[in-house]
Amino acid sequence: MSARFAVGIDLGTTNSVVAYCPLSEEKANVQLVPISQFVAPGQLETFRALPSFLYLPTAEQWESGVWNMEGEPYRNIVIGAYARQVSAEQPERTIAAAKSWLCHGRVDRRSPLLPWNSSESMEKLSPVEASKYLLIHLIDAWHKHQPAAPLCDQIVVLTVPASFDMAARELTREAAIAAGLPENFTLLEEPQAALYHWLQSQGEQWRRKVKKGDVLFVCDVGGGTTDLTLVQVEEEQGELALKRIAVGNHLLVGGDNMDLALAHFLAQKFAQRGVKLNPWQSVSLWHSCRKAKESLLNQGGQDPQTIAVLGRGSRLIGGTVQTEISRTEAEAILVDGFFPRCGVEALPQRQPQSGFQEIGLPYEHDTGITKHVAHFLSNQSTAKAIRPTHLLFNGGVFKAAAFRNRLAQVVSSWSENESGSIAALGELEDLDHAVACGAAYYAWSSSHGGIRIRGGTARSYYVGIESAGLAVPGMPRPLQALCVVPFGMEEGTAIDVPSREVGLIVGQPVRFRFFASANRKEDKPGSMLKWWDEEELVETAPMELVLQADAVPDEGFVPVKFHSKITELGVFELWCQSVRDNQRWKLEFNVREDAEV
Amino acid sequence: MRIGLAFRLFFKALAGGKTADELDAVLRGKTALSSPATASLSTTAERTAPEPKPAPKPAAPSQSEAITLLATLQREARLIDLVQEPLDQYPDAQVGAAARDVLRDTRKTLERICGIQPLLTEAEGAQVEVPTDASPMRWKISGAASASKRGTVVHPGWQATRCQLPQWNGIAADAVVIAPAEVDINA
Repeated sequence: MSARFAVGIDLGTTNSVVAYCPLSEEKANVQLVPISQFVAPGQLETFRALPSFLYLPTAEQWESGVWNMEGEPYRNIVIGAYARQVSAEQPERTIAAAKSWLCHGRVDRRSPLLPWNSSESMEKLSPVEASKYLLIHLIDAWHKHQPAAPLCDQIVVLTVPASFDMAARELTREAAIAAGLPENFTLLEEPQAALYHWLQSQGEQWRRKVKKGDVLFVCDVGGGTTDLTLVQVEEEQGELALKRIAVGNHLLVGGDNMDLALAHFLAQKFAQRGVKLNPWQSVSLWHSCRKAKESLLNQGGQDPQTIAVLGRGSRLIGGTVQTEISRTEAEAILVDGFFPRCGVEALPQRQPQSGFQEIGLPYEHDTGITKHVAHFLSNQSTAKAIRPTHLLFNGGVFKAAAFRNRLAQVVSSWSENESGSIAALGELEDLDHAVACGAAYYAWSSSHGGIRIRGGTARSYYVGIESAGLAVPGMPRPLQALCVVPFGMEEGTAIDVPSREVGLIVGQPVRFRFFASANRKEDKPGSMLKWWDEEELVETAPMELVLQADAVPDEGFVPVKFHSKITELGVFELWCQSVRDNQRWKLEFNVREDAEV
Repeated sequence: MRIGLAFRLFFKALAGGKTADELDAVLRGKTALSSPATASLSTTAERTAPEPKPAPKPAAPSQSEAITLLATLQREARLIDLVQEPLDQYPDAQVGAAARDVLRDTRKTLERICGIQPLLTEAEGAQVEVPTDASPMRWKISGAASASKRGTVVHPGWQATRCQLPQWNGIAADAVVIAPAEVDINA
């Protein structure tokens, strides 16, 4: 059956959205899929976003039937608004930010470890499974909305953070296929999706808004993560073209940190007056801060504002405590705290190294988003920092004008000429849905010939090879890094990596350490690195294969060279090509073995 | 074919008798063509025996929409907690502190579920023409009983532009629950 719809799925860290667009129409008409979800036991409501939270009820609770959804797409799990609501009260039964765990290299992402820190007896899910169930819920919502158009027959685009490395993308793909997405779905980077949404809103007008040489900076601050991307405007055969030239690292700082910072400040204010908040009131205060964040920063709103924590139990009025916060205070905490004024040479504070480190999610130590931005822009070239000319905001945080203005001011202040202020792109009403809508538009335009942002891989990739030489007892052999994928390798291309031959041992697992770099853009396939900065090359999951003994008749090892390939769908494949004959074997990511848990 | 049918019906009706009476009844919407005599009129209508009805399923328990709305307002805004609390013991400022949040969340919830909007687009104090066939449900007229239908808007009225209540599924005994009892298990 041929596809009738282009579907974009934004599987977010805190919220997920599905958008779609009929393929038959000549102008992209993007709409959102309503997502039915529990708001309380036995109470289903429909929203345009699905909070990406999973609640694991007890077996008895599940059997009571209050969590039954029509068609029962999954069992023993409650997903969405209710799960988010209880996440603070019952953390040991809820899974939040499954997506951030998916790109957390220090844990085994296929083993059941979520909810994190819950008791041993609990039934748990792996980050991959948790993502799969979120997707099953979204797919179920699609089928309830469009029962006559099975999703596996549609053109589907799923978004991932630009900062996701190959292994995290592979795991996302694995979860998506297991959930029931068509095998040929495409992965698209979220900031690019946001930019596609802007391109759609502009039509052909966009060519008048930017010119050759401009650099568009997409700053996507979600609930839990910050994702940065640079897109350059180029000219090809007299036409403007867009090329993604850089992506930032995965930053675990976002809107949730802001709510928490505000709540922390207010809790201190209460404490000064001798009011000690109990854990339940603290959670309630956190919710109040989430609601108040926008209006606190709005010009023309009340100043100071009252923040109340309602009493628990039915004694609502009697138990209510309140305090005031002025706009100056709110700005100091939120704007100065998260978007501090800084120079382009600013460096985010690194995590202090300690002998004992908790394995949980590696939250950013420095919440200064502008500092991370400065570091990102400075890191892209050895010569000098890149100065973007245009700024595209994405993520609900930017509904507050104070954040938008501050970020624009700070980035403008880095401009070399005095008047070089940065121009903001885009509308604000779609900050929560732009990624899903942009993804649907991207899927639609693939069959209607719209503009494509080029860019290829966002990183260069390296295989670790132990150098030959005299062994020194107690010392690992020095490691060298062989570049197998250069920065910007395009979809649908393949490379025979020029290198010395590598011996594959037959009959036992062969394992290569694997590295990624976001800023070594000059390395060519075959470049051999003998030394590198720890920050430059980041180790990801290793790649391995087992060569069956009967596959190779002769002696114990086979000399091979590497062959790398990026498919049209953006799937990365690394092959070992025998130099003797035409045989070759595919390496797979191993996300299990390197785990420290 | 329809023309043929129409002619045959015309002549049957003209001839009078039982068939004509039945046709009359059908045209008045009182009965369906069902007796053998009338069914034979039609060449295309298929005569199928009515499907044997499956045994009626026990109706799923349902909740009064009013209670669903109360439960939603309690869950999202704690409105029932507010109105159920005796006010005498508290000074106005204390009541106001709690009420501000509850009212804000109540409004947000009602907006989402009912999409409440003024009935009239004209603002209070504006001049408006009352239609001659004004429904007393939409228009509450006061003032001089004159022939004039012009007047000043005192209150623009309210309307719900939608009604999207949560779907409820539970057992019959729980249909009265507005808010669950909360219990903190001792560690």
